[in-house]
Amino acid sequence: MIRFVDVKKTYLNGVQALKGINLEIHDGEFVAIIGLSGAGKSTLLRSINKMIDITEGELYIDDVEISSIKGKELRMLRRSIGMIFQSFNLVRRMSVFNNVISGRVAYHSTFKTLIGRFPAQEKILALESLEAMGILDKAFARADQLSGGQQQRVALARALTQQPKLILADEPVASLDPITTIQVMDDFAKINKEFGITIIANMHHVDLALKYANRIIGVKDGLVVFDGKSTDITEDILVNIYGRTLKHDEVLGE
Amino acid sequence: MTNVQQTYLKIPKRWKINLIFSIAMLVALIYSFAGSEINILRLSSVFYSFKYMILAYTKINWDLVLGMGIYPFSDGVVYMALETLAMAFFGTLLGGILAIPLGFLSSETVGGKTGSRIGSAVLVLIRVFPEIILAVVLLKGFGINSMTCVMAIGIHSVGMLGKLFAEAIDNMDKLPLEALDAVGANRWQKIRFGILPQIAADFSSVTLYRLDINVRSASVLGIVAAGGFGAMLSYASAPENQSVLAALMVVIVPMILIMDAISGYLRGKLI
Ligand SMILES: Nc1ncnc2c1ncn2[C@@H]1O[C@H](COP(=O)(O)OP(=O)(O)OP(=O)(O)O)[C@@H](O)[C@H]1O
Ligand SMILES: [Mg+2]
Repeated sequence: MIRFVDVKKTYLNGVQALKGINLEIHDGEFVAIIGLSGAGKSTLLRSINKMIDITEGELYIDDVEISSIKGKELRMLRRSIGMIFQSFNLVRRMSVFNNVISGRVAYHSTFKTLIGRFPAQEKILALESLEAMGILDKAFARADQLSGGQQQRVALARALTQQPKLILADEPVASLDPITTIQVMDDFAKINKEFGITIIANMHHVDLALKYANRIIGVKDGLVVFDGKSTDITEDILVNIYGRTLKHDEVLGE
Repeated sequence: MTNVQQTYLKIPKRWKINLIFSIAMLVALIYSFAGSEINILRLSSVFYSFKYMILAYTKINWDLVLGMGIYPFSDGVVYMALETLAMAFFGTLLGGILAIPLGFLSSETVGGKTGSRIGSAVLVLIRVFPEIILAVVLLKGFGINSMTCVMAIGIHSVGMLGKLFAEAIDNMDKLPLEALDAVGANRWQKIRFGILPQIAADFSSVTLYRLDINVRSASVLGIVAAGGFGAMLSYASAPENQSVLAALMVVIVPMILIMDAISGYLRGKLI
């Protein structure tokens, strides 16, 4: 469970990106965070694995307050949280398999990982993750030989190989075409249902957010302005989150 | 004046600078020819020695080249070529190994602002010493032997290799490092899984290129520090020893051409 208590974030340049966030996110949820560009979605998401440090308030993960942890303790926290990025963030010149197994490094001593020695069951785990994402046949291809959608699946396999309880995704489909987008979102749904992993995703396309997430968090100007079931979203609520009526094509995200 | 006219006046008038620059170049060119005292007499003497050169190449002393007959193998030019290649190889290896930590330190990505300043300063300091000078300095410590050449080549190579390694590190894709941070990797694990796989090809390519350069410098470095073609090359520099020079050239020229081709081929494979 993740709990935000009056969380604020002010960047060094004085921009206040989060202005007092209070949230509880429970295990197994599929949450979509929506809002205008600059609303603070990335800041909110990245504070959960401390890729960004909050400046005020408290943030609990499974009742452990994380804002002061660092070093080894921080790495132990991060290894239990998968993260997916808009640009996939794979090492393009490395094989798919090595990219995926790199999700395990924080489970081992520096020496063992430097010589590239991983236990057999972890290599199997990496291959099983690739199979779950439907790209086992690409295991020994170089990452840059794959299409965008396939690369995002490699990134998902890397996250799965961490055996995380939670996956954070910062606009995971923003650089994919509409058809690939559906496939990757289906993969997220599968990971959420079959593996029981909590998913929190920043989404640009409202229609996708409504279709895939059970819960929507609307962020506006550093504050949560809507928090509820995706089935409860109305036109008025969207107008409030986005400050204006969305055009048909914006909702559909085509 | 309209906005277009005002903006028109702001278009830089490059032609003036271009013209001045061109004239300056022309003047410098004419001056350098005038200063070099080219005259017919000098030119004819160049052609005269050219004639002897051609003659020398028509009757190469193959015993001297191959180290046969009255010449022991270790006095032959081919043996010297092998020694030269070995000096270049070990010098490059030494330089490449030393350049890795210095390259990492000098990159902003790994060394940060401070590290990159310190590392770059060290690398510049190394680069200012030509190999010949390094060899002369090192003679005191290592004596007159090929080890001195290896050390001089190695140290000098660090200057270029370290700089290019650092550039490769700073130019690579940084996004995978963000992903590794999110996975909980520590500094060394990030280098192993985020940096090395991205720069290994660049490192090898740059080092191969340096090997190519080092074969050339090892060929002449022996003149000051012994080893390789050294002694024979200084002997051959006297005008009356054209035939020895010829014996050297038939080995050195193909050796460098072949090295060039091999290094180019391997670098092409790496991209
Ligand atoms: N590293 C930073 N330094 C300073 N200001 C920042 C930094 N990162 C973000 N900001 C500012 O914080 C605010 C929130 O940014 P954030 O990236 O969280 O928005 P977002 O909702 O993710 O936007 P987008 O949809 O464009 O990704 C913005 O005003 C942004 O300019
Ligand atoms: Mg963002």
